[in-house]
Amino acid sequence: MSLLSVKGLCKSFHAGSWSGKDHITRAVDDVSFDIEEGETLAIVGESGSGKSTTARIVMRLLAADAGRIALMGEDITYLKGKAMRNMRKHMQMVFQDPFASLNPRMRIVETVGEGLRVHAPEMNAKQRRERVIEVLEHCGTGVEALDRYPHQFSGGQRQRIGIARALAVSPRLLVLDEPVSALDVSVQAQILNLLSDLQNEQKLAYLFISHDLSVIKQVADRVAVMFAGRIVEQGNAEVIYASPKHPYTRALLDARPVEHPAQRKKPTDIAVRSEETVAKSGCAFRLRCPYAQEDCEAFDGALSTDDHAFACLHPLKAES
Amino acid sequence: MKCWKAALASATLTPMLEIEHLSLSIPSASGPKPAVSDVTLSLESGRVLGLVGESGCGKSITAQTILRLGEHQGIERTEGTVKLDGQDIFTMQESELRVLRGGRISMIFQEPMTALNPVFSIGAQITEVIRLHLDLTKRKACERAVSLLTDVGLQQPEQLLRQYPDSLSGGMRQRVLIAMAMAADPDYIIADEPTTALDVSVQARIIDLLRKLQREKGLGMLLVTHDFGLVAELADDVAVMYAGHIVEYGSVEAIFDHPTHPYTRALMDCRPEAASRGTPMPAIPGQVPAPGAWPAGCRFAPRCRWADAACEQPVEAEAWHHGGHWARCIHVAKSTKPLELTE
Ligand SMILES: Nc1ncnc2c1ncn2[C@@H]1O[C@H](COP(=O)(O)OP(=O)(O)OP(=O)(O)O)[C@@H](O)[C@H]1O
Ligand SMILES: Nc1ncnc2c1ncn2[C@@H]1O[C@H](COP(=O)(O)OP(=O)(O)OP(=O)(O)O)[C@@H](O)[C@H]1O
Ligand SMILES: [Mg+2]
Ligand SMILES: [Mg+2]
Repeated sequence: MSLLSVKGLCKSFHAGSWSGKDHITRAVDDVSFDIEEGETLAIVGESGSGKSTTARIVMRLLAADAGRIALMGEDITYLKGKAMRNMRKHMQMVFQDPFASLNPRMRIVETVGEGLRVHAPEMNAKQRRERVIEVLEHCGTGVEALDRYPHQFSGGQRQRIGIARALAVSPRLLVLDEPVSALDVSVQAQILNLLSDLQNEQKLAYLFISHDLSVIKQVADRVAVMFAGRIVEQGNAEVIYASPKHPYTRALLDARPVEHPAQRKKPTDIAVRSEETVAKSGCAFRLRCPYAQEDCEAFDGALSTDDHAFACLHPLKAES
Repeated sequence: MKCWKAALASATLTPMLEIEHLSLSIPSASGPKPAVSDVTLSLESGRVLGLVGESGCGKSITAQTILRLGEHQGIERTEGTVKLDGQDIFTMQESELRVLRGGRISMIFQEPMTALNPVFSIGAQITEVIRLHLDLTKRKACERAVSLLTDVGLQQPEQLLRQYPDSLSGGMRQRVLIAMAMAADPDYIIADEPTTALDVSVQARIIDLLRKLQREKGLGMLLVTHDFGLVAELADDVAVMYAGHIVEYGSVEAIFDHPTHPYTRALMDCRPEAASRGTPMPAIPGQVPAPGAWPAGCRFAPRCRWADAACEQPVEAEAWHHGGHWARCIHVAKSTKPLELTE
């Protein structure tokens, strides 16, 4: 039994009434994945590909149009009230922007202890405070933080506090939406190390969302690549980095900046090569794909069922 | 006529933007606090200078001061100067500054979302900039707008002129802003985190575009970023900033092949590309000290694994130097083999 099992999630938004035409965005389209205990599944994809929407559905912050979510074997898709509260303590979320996600008027002790009020009502104020101190210290923030306010901390410290808040209720799964994207590399490294230590100690599972493939390479056991609401490739992280099957994954890998000035590429054609176009029918990537052929127009985007799954009629060959 | 121009050109040397011994202060409840100290940098036309460092080191306020943009926010120059082809910008009148900004020197900011005004069409905003700097009729300005938008790789420019910022993606907005920055054929561009808000695939295209424009127009560019990837892609020279100081300066090859200041090395080491999975990443402990809370000696010493008592004394900028490559570190300066600091 997987810790988290997600099957066939779909979510559409009606958007753009102001622009005159009411069109529907299929933000998440038939998304399925499993996460085992102690494992990190990373979701990567460009802006608007549906990563955050997927995270919000998993967290039950947003209702799916279709699909199922099971946590620790229990179907939580439609759970309500007390039953949902009981399950919620097993999964917690950490957001990208530590500035926006902490209540500016709450002291750190209240922010971090907030979840305990809900999920551990049996604790009194003193016990709560002790637990808060414990998790803060675990996350590398001292006791002196307790009675201060978020604006008194740097971005990295705020992210530690955000993680401490999520950990206070001892969850099994953390959903991390771009947790280090707003941080400097130096601080990013501190936070990634913290996440890795916590995972090793507590067998935590992570659903780790990022658009930064270098960061994902550091943390992920498995990777799911999203494009236009669908998972287009999924599998073992090392395998996907070494030999991606889907041309979109290849394009994402190639778009990373070089590591050394000697590797600079020749400037390519700078025109907006249908930069953000998504095909309305067939394979959504086909308008940007250098390998697209006629049959891609009719492709339904189904993922193959291998361990290394991909949704492409003309997958890339492994590089020798 | 030609000889006269050539004579003038050789007399004035290469055109240059020079920052000399610049110190800045920021406002605070307890009065001005020093935020940048003794920065000396020069930007030649046709070259890209990367200014890197962690958040809060003073990169942006240094860059903004080149156009005297921080003044209304209380950012004050306490020492030093900025000269454009020999002329001190601090002696310029407000009217001269308006011509300078977006005229000879343009700026590209991080947020393509907020830098465009949502209530005006792209066409209105871009022609306004063009007509501020160039004496053109409305029609000519529109034609120029179309050619600028084409230059930055935007398709169907005529149609784009009628659109509003809301209907453009982040990457398209950043292209529009770059087109606006190019409106008056500037000699210098100051790009402050030009790709940070964009996702990888769009970022790669904007990098291509900046490189192409910079080469074709022979622009001098100051590239402010905390991303070594961007520096590796674009910069010719690199200045590393820490807590208001430039701590190392050199060619991009020198900085990547022989990073010398312990801060530069530490920063390069914690890039995720440099790490391998399963081993802890070499993070830099602690954080950048706030302006005004700097140690008296080497400002990086409290976070430096090689620091000792000697580091409590102030260190001069070029304490160690080798050709045009220098570092503000007493230990590399003393060592006979400066590049082999060991644990
Ligand atoms: N509340 C909403 N109403 C309307 N459309 C929405 C809403 N939330 C998301 N969308 C749309 O759904 C799509 C997926 O958005 P989502 O935020 O999940 O993308 P993402 O992959 O997280 O992108 P980013 O990397 O920019 O965070 C986008 O087209 C977005 O505009
Ligand atoms: N208008 C202002 N008023 C007061 N303090 C300011 C102002 N602008 C910047 N500062 C402070 O000056 C210092 C340097 O800021 P600056 O924006 O130059 O940093 P930076 O190196 O560009 O960082 P980042 O990578 O976060 O953009 C910071 O401590 C910042 O908080
Ligand atoms: Mg998102
Ligand atoms: Mg800045």
